[in-house]
Amino acid sequence: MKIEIPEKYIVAFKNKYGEDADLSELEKIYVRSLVTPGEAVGVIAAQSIGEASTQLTLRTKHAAGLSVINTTTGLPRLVEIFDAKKDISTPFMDIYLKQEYSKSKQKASEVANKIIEIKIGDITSSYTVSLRKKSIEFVLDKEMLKEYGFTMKDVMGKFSNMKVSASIDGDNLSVIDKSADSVKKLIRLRNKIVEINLSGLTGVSRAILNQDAQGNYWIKTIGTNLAEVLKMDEIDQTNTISNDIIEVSKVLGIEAARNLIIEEVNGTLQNVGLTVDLRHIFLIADAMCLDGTIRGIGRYGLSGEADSVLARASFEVPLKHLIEAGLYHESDPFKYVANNIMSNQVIPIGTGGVELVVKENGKGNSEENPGKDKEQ
Amino acid sequence: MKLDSNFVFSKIAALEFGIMSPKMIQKMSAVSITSSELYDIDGFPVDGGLSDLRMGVTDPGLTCKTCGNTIRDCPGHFGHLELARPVFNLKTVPYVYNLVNSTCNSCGRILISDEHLKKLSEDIISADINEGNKKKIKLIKALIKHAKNVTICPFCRTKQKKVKLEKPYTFIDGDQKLTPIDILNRLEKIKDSDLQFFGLDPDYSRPEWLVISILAVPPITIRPSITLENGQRSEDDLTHKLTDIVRTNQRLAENIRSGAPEIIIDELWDLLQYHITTFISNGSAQVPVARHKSNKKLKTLEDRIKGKEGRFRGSALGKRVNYSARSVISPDSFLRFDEVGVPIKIAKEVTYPEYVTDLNIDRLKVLVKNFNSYPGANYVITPDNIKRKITETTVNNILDEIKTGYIVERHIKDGDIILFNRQPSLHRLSIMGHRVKVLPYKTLGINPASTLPYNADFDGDEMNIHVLQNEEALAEADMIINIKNNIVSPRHGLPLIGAAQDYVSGCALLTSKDTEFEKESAEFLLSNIGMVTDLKKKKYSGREIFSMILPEDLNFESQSNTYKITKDDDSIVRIKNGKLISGVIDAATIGRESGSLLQFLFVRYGSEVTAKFIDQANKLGLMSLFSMGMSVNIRDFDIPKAAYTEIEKVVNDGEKSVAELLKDYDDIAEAKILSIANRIRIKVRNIIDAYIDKKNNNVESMITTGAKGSITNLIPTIGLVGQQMLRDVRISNGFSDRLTSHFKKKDNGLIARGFIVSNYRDGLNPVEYFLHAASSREGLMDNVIRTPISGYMQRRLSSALQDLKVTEDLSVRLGNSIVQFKYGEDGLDVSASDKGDLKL
Repeated sequence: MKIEIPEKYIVAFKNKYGEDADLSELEKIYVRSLVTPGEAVGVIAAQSIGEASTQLTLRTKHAAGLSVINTTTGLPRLVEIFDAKKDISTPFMDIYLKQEYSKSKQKASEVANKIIEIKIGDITSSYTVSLRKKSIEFVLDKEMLKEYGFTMKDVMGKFSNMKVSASIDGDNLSVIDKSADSVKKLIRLRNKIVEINLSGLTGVSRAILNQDAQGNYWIKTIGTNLAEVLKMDEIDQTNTISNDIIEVSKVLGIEAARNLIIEEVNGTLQNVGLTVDLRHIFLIADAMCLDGTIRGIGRYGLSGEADSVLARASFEVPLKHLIEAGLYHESDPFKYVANNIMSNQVIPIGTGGVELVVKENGKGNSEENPGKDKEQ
Repeated sequence: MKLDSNFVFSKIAALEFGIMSPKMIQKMSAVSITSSELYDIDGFPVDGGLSDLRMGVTDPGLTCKTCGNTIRDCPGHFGHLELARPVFNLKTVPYVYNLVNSTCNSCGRILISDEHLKKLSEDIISADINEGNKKKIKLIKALIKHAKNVTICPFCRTKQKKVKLEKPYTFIDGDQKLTPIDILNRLEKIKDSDLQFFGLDPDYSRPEWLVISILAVPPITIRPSITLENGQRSEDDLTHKLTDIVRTNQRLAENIRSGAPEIIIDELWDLLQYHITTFISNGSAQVPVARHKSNKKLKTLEDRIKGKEGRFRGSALGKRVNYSARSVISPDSFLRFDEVGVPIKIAKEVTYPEYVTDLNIDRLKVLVKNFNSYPGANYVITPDNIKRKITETTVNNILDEIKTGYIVERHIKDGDIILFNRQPSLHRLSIMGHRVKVLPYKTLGINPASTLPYNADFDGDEMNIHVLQNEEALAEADMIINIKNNIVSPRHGLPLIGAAQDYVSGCALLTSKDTEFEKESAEFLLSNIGMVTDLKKKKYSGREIFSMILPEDLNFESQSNTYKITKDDDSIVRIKNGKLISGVIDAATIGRESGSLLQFLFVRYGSEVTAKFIDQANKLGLMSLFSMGMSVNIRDFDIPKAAYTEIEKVVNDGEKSVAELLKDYDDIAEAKILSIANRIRIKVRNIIDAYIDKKNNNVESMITTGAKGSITNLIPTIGLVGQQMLRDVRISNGFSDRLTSHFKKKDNGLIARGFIVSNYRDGLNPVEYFLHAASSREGLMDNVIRTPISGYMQRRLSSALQDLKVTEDLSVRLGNSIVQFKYGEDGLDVSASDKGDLKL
């Protein structure tokens, strides 16, 4: 293999030793620093993170000093990332604003108020469910309405495409559902109505204004809705980010999700002062994003989808894997670690990855393509 | 020498899985089980019973009727039991359910129209070829889901009724219960050509094989009976269950033959189903657990396979070894860091098999002769592979016949390479190659410099050694996992082996500005590291002495820990052409997990130079301490009265502002109080830092050199212990509105909620002590809970990434897919480069 030294090292080398420095010296240094082919880098990455994680904290810590926002950190967060959980325990967004909004506190807080989701539930002070009238009556909080700047009409408008009839009587909003025949159904309807979005972004329950060192305001939210936030004009789309990996992969794509995994894992580790080389985190992130979707590392992700039946069976729920293997007539190629260990054969990694055939007195492997016989 | 035995002529290339058909079970069966009796009156196995000799032997002296071998060589043979009525296999019920519901109940065809099927079959084939099994199974699952909801068979136009499954294994069609026979009939109707849509291959897995009509009876060798001391036989759990099955089956068959009423037959059939279910698995939710008379759970087939101690994790992947030893470890600074002190007792027990050649025959003969003392040998293996113990009676014979081609299992000796390990083996550095140093102690000795990668200390820790048994393993232990090659960690590129504690203090003392030695003491120092020289000058500075262990062409510059704290320019480490010109050598240059010089040396000069340097530096440090002395006095912890008045003032001010906040106490005030408590701590820290004597103070010097301790340790020792917390908040008042009866009710002040103003040196008062213990306990609990969580995470990570490897083009691959085109995006090895960078 031809060795190509990255440009930045050549430049640095020439800077130090002059323009006509002997590049073969650099090549020596470069080659010496490369990984050894056959190295089990996956296991090294797993161990580097696993060993470090024994020193992580278990408790969630508040992110920014006095701020009320709690973020999951430490071991629980790490587990959450590697599991590729859909509902993470503390989703949040860091929303950065365009110049004209980030400088003024007032404008920034207007943006923040625009983001916070306000539901019908937030402006109701009480409600009654009546099965006889097949209706639910909500008593709306006038002051709240005023504070948020809604009129009764705004509220009514939300019912236009629902199959119920809504009417207003003073402070009361009554919703009648003719099809309701049980209290259960009405309660379900009530729960649905309470969740109706009046303004703001669905899922964002709070937005807190923060100021960075340069005096620019930015917004931290509890709850995420990246797709909607990115549609807003006031937002600096290039920096705004959510900490929900699955959401990011859906909105921004798999590469963005990969970067987020790396950033989150690295951040969690650095939070407690642990140093793990980025390469290890890259590798895990790349493995998780291998097929274009985010796969966790557990039973329902990478480990559960291994090629080798025996490797899968040795991880968790062996019976299920064995029965399905039998059912679907699977074949387990012995080119992986787990199955070769089970059969007392040399694993195809590290020094075991080297294939060497010795002919003893013409005996031994005399096939045309020695070594290839390992693949069926 | 038999070379043949060392060659691998054939390997397992792949393993195919399938379902066994009743026919196949019959074909491979050595015996048809007909009797539930195990032994006759004379204690001999009954023919056709569950201990039939045709299924193998477990008693010494008997021979197997099938293969003719005795206990050690007979692998065991399956038998079979023809069931009077078929029963379900609990583990295949979900699949049977899917099959029944997605095929027509009258014609047996799949409930998807023909034209659709054509396309699907192409999809499935292409998925199988292009994207592998996973994709195929996903497709099939979607297909089954679709077919389940079809109401009219597209082929024979019969109306379909959905079969319901009542867990665990009752199928209901409308209001009628479907027996295994009904299900069997339905499954048999499914055409071979339709099977591909369910992912089945008619040659390997016909649907009707999922229902048990003939039971494979496992060989006795996997369920041996044991003879107790009183001569009574005790059977294995599986045998117990099998007798139940056979007995129930017999009764069922008899009742069917005699034309007994339906109810009785059904009842027995259900019983048979239950027994076979609990033979396979004893843990499923709706099935009552089968138990021993003593109420112990019966071990089932599933239990044998599943879990940590199961067949996979416990037996197939968990190998057991000979030639290993374990003992308590003790520190021994006079060992090299790559050595391990092995007690003679161990050295005589664990051996290395050495081939006899012309070159070593004389040496080995001496060892054989010396067999019962150290160094000696325990066994001799002849070329025909016969192992013979060397004893008083055999020694002369062996000495006579021993020649080239024999193998002598000799005691391990100094310089042999062995593996050294401490559990938990969290990373690869938990097992490394060490050189043996046989010593007359009872514990394994280890240099304190190499404890960090093992995470070992000497409060009773035990470690294991493994003696390697062939040259290939020996070579790998020496050249790959040798501790010398693993000085730098692959995790972050920092050295894990280096100076710690006294070594650091000693080196810092040696290399500090004014240290000078007379010629004689300098010579003594150097003699300890094996440099016997005749020095010329009258006086030598410590730095001159240290320079002698540096490589001659070394050029290096780095900040020292001392510099970071004192900002004294003289403390910056400058090495020019192997001479230490200025700088204090301390933790920043040679310490573990920080030593920049060690990392620099390892990458540029290689492991041998670095290893030698570490040992010599440590020894120099240690011997310097010996000659110069260093101790800690309680006065080293003194800070002047003025400091304590200041601390008192800080606390008082804090209390005042807390009192202010308490007037309007709420959540926000609580958060502010917390931050006040924190600020007090920081202020105290600064006071200590300002007042503590920086010169002639060995505590302070240990902190500045990074040998041990930090200012954070001084705060609670001589300042104040500070706020005690539980679950990230101040210890809460609880139901009685106060922590202890020493406080007023509803007092939320600093002291009343766990702020400790005393320090360790002066002592805590009882209340403070109690609260301190409460918050320490939380830490312990946290640790206990955390360990299994992180352990499981690591298991999952390893299992997911174990097959990733770097190929010749530096790409990282998992099977046939590429994970990274270049490892770590630049192909650099963390431990072979400057933390993943090239510093030229």
